[in-house]
Amino acid sequence: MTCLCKFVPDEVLARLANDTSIKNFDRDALQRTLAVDQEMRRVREATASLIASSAMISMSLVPATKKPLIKLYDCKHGAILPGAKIASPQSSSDGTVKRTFKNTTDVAKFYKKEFGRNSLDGQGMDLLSSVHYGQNYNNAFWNGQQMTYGDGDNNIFIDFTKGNDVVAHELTHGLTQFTSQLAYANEPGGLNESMSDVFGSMFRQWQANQTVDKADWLIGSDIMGPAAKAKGFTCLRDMANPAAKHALAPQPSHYSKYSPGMDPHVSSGIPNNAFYRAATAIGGKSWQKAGKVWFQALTGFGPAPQLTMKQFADRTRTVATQLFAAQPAVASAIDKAWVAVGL
Amino acid sequence: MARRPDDKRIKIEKLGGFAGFGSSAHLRSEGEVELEKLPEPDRDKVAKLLDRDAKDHPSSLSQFVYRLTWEEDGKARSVDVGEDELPASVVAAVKDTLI
Repeated sequence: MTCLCKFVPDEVLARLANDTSIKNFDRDALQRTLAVDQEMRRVREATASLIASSAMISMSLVPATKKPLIKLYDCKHGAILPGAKIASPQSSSDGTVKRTFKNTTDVAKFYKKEFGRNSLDGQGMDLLSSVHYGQNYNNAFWNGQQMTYGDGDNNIFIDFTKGNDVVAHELTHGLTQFTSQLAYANEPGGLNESMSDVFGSMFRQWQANQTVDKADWLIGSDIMGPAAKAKGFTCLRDMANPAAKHALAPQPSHYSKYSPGMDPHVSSGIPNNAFYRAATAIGGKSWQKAGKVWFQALTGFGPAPQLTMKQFADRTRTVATQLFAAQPAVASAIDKAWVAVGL
Repeated sequence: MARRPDDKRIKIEKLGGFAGFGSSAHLRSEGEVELEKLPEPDRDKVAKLLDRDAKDHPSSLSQFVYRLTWEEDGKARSVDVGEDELPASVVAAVKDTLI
């Protein structure tokens, strides 16, 4: 039997963390405390994940000024993580390594500069990435502790590190893990996937310094292989037109099409399209207004693993009126975007 | 005792991942293995996975899930397992295709 001794109950921490009368700085601290508290419970209950979880908790003790280190590993086409440490990834002659280092560094800068977030956990945690994973591996993933990239089969997909949106997408799963802790099934699963697509696309636009009218709003367009292109697929997902024929993985764009149990990669089309509609209606650069609202709605309310799409939509409506009180057009655009997708 | 399918054939379907294999995506990844033809350690590992409760689903943030389907007592049964739980010989049995 495990003993869980706590000075402040979770429900009290959660209530205080959501109390808008408390300063943002203090609320952030409460949210971090709550997240650590809940993580400690999981550690006690799941001894199998003891080592990894303990490392996560210990990171929260590091001063908030710590700068994240970008660390790369080479799996050399094996499937054992993390692989061999790469000494100087920034100057590697391997394009995959150099590119991954650059994009991961830029994602950390993006979150710090535009959203004031010090790495994924807010505490400057180091960002670990393994490249050349597996044989003809058509995937990239965040496993709860690190990023992993396959080289693709050079038929359907090419090297997954070639997609800057792919890098930001997977790292954003880490951000979600350390903040709202959205589950990975049903509506919160669709939201979880959507947050990664939204910030993935936003990061792509940020790197190119694009305004919303210049953005392609495509996910995975840089990793499509020759066989996929030959069939007319130009991307995995299209946030502007989720059901598009050129999308290898078409999605619904209206909540009426949602059904429980739907794959998160499918249901994410609904909130994806809402973000696209909001950002393009507001205009300018997506990360400056719509992105700020989405970030606060994702990270500013403490853990909410079972958050529904409607609840998230309502959060953005509330946050928009708070962050952009002098610009009611922002909240209006966001409201209309959600209404258009049935929320 | 670990489960042994009637006809010793296991259909494997790879699902999920960043691209969403097996969903509405134009992507499928399927294959089949004969349990008895797998190397012994792999065979035992897979046989134990078949004993898992069908309602247990691995949590996967863009990692693949593998659905193993087999016949037992004349009925089709299936179980979902994480990619890191399967031996390489089973993972290698699926082929990614465009549809």
